[in-house]
Amino acid sequence: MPPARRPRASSRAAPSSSAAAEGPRGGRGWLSALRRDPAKRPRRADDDGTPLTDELLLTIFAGVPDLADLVRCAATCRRWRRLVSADAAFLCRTPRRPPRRFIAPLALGFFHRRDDAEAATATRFVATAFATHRFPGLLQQLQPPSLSTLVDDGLFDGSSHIVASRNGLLVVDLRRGKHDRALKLCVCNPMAGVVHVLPPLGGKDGLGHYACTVLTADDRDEESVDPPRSSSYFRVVILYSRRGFTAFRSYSSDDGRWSEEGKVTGARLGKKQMGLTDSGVVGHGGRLVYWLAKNVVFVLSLKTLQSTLRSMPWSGNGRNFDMANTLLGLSPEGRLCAIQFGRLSPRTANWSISIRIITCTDHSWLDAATEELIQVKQSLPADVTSVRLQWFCEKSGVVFFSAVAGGHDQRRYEMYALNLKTKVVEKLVAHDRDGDSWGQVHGYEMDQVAYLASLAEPEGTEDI
Amino acid sequence: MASAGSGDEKAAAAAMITLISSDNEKFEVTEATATLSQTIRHMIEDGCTDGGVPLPNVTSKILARVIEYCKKHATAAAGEEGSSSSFSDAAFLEVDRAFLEELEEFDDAFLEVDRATLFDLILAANYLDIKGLLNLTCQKVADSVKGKTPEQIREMYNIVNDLTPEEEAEIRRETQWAFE
Repeated sequence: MPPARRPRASSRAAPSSSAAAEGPRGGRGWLSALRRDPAKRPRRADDDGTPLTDELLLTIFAGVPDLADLVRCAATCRRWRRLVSADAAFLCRTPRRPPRRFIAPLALGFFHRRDDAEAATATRFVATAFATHRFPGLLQQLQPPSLSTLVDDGLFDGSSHIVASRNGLLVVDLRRGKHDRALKLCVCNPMAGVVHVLPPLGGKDGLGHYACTVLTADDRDEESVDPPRSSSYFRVVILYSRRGFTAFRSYSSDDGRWSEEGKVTGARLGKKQMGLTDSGVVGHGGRLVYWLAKNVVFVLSLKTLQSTLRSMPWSGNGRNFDMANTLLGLSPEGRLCAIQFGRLSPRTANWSISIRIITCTDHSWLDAATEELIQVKQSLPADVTSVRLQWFCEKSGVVFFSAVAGGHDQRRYEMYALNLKTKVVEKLVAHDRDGDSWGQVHGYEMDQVAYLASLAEPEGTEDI
Repeated sequence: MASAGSGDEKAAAAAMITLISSDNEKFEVTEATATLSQTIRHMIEDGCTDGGVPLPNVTSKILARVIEYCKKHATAAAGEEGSSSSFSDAAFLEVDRAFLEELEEFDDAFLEVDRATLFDLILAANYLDIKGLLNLTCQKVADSVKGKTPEQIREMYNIVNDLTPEEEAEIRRETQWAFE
């Protein structure tokens, strides 16, 4: 595996006045930039009254069956909080059952990139209110956080764009322009501040359109046969078209190289469909990947490379399937679910705006009991003229959607986050620039390691 | 050492080791039982067990329990290996399963102890480097927090809560999902 690129670490003790001269900050990863590395911070006295050593307590925590149990241990006393947060990477190596509920604090915000005809702008990040509260540094940096402030050495430029975002990782396409035929991908963990540049793929022929996703240690369940060796494990999988068949390749951090090209049997995914798909949804402990492709779901078994197609429910607006009005994800119970806006008819007097969550049961979308409607109109301004789904953070149960409001002369573009559990809608950000406003949107959720690490004491509370 | 066969090894299996607890009580155990402890195994290999092995970190009460565990598991290990050659496959599987079931029942009963004893067993297993016993006792504690609130965990294990009310409220906010 190529060595992980570690961004230049700015001096930890640098006074804030000199920070401007050092250029963009945050290159050390959001987590370490915002909360000091719990392993290195001065220890505050934290006697829990037990005779056990730190090492023994960690052996015990490693065996705790569920993430929720581990998190409640961290809330027990200072010492346990310190151990769980400081050794999160070790504790996350234990395969655990899926949490079976939404973990709202995982959602931190979204990346967006306007793909204008002129110079493409850098991919920017917008944090949710909860994330801003928890990580106050996230919005107080000199520059607004963006993809390029994650790494200082010019790895990312205006044409770098995110192609998958899952479990704390971003897969970024580094190709510059259409003439760059080889596919250059990198995998980036903004919380940890680590970037892996993968070996380029393709060569002379190029790969054309591709569909991809990334699997991580958080995907495996207690049935996973071959648990990864590290909690920072990842595996990028991509699909692309060859003459006559759909081809598959994957790159795993354990192997450190791309697999040989595999041939997908069963259903095929057309070239055009590949260009449309968003990052694939991973299910069944990392054994299946689902890609939404036009009006069907393309399901791939990673074990056998066999694929099938699954139907999609019609979107609420009429009888056509509207890809732009459908987000795919996995419910906490591990079932495939689709998120859509219900009937959209803004011209009528008493129009409602509702988000529909349809859960797939045993290959069928038709069971009415699996459908839930959440009214959101009451949380939006009265002059909203259109809404659009942007991203489903499946682990945290947060749906990002944008709205356009106001008349012709004073149009406003707004972004909202709906929490599926509390049904609370939060306004994230607005602007009044012209043109469709957000471009490509990718929600960002942290992984379990980053979440446990973020439970460390906030800075400034330790007695030295 | 349990790879029974040569006369030398049979003699070794019968060799007795004396373990001396912190309160000076002496326990005679077979080498097969004692060497479940890596710590003692190394001492035997280094030839420094003459006159008994002092274990200043382990009380007689805990040492008696640890020896009980080691005896059972040493017998099971010997039985398993001995049976592999003398039974047909089907019979072997039958015996194997019976052994495992019996061992599991023993382990479950063995773990029926109070909190202080459980912690003492963990410390002794760690000091004596008995992997099976360490895993067993640590997993017992790990399983016991399942579904418990921090208050219940503190009560179960006499944990001192040194979080300030503000800190507790803050971490509770960040972990609210785990309480639902």
